[in-house]
Amino acid sequence: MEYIRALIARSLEDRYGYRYLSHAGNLVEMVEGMNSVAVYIAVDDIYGEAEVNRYMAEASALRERYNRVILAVHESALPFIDPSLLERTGLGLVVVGNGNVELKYPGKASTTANVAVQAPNIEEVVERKVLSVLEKERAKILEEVKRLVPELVSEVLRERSVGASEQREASSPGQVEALESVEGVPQFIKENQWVKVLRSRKR
Amino acid sequence: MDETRYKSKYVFAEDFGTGYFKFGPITLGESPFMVQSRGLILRDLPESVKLRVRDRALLERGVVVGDDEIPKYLSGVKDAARKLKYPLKDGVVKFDDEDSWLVVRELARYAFERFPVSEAGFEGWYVVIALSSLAPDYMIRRIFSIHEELDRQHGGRLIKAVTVISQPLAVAIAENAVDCIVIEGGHGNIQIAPISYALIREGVVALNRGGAEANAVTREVLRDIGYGDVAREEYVVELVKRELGLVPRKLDGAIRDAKSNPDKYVTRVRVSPITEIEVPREYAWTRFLIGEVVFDPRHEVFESYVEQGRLKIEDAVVGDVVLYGEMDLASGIVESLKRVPVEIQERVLSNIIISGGAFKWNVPRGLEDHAVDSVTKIGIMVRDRFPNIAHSVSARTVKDPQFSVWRGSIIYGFALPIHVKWNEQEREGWHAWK
Repeated sequence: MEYIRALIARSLEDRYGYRYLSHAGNLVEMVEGMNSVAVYIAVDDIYGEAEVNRYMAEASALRERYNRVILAVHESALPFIDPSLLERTGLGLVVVGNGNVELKYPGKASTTANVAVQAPNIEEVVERKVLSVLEKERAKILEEVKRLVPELVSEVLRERSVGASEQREASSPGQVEALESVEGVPQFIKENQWVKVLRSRKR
Repeated sequence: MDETRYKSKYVFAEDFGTGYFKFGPITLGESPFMVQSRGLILRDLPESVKLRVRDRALLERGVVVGDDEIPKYLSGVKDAARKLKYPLKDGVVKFDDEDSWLVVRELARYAFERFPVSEAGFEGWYVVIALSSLAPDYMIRRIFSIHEELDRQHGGRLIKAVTVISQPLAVAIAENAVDCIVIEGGHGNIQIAPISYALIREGVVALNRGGAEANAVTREVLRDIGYGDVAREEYVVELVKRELGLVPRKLDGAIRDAKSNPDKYVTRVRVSPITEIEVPREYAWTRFLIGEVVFDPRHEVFESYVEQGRLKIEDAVVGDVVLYGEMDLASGIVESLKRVPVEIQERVLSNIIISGGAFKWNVPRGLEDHAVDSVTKIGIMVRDRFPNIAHSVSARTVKDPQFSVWRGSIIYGFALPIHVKWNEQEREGWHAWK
């Protein structure tokens, strides 16, 4: 059910310009233009005529609360659906099959529905979209950080050990010998390994 | 003249110790000049003495320093010793103690005056000032401004640049140790400073006790054995501490031995031609308390002293540093070690350098079973309290405790390139104003 619901909502969003709002059980609430839309999911493996009629009746009942109601069924249910019944009830029809979702019939918009879902204003829609984009970006950044932190830590440790070994090299007695040629430098300075360490200080 | 040749003649170091001010140029070799860190404020002297001052400049400066100069003005002054100003307490000069700053300025002026230079190539000294690792920022700024002022008074030809080095780092440099822990035991505090190619500032741990607490215990021992009158004289207490004080291998064992064999520990100290102090048999064991308090003051014996108000062991704050009162020395070392990067902990621990008067203790012949020196004591404490790091610990005393800071400062000034500008946060580099 989870997968079917996501598939239908995603397809209606991407291909038909619907906007997902929420879901509960087999009902998905969406918005299309100024209309509130209920998608009633009745996707079963095996259908009978009675079941299909029951689903249509349950979906029709939702028209009191939504401007448009769309019944979603598996393509195997098509033989049991009477088009004239769809016409009379004003229900829309979505058919799911082979991983595809097709809006066969959008249904009629009811102007008398006691609208359960208020159409969001443009700011809300934009805000929601922006938030969803930001959320995706945040997740990407988190992934990137998780990937990079261990690399950075090992890089820093490597640099530290290189720095320390450079300093140790700089402080080797061989290099202090350069001072031997300078007259007047006390012996305790010439022999001190700190001299090279300090001479390598940069700023 | 290139930098190396210039500095081989014109580096000057000043070590502001609490007791002594050591100073002089690189050309002195291994031993600097030294005077007591104190001054005589002329304002406090009677008019009759002031009349003896012929030098008008000296009168204007208002302070006399130098062990050769001060006595000239002290004769005939009542309570002479009390009029002397000692500017440093625990290595720190108080922010608003202007008399102390006057003495510090005069000590610096006195130092440069001892070494006048008239050579053509001389453009000013590279001056390195060694201060306590607890010295607050304001102290460094004030010392810089004092040197700027001295330079201006000499027409801008006295000082080329000035820098500050912390005393433990200077000790490490003088000892030729790039990875080490320097433990400096002074009169008022003990500083534990880890060093790895530089002072690891965040690893510095300070304990609020030192020679002064050993003196305090000595004073109480003297009172207990009936010498309360001489216990009032600080120099007597210091002398008795040096002669009587023992550092126990382990305090409980040492006390047990001293109580069961008191004759071994009975001794006499001559403090003047007519006064000799004798420690009676029943108090012989207290000799171990004198040394122990420096290393670990948490034994119940000290608790009773503290409860009676005879000894003060408490935390203190100097500048922005907390000095721990009760922390034992081994815990101090470990606390310091915790703040050092893991990969160098073992290296610094394997080279502990101990310096300072608070760690100078005798081990009298015949008492070696229970009395030890500071190096042995620290090793025992670390092994007892932290056996997992005991294998890494190696300690030694500084080779030349009196002059090692000055010598390290000279090496620092000679080697630190002049293009390294002063950085207040790193506390490194040359401060120049020209």
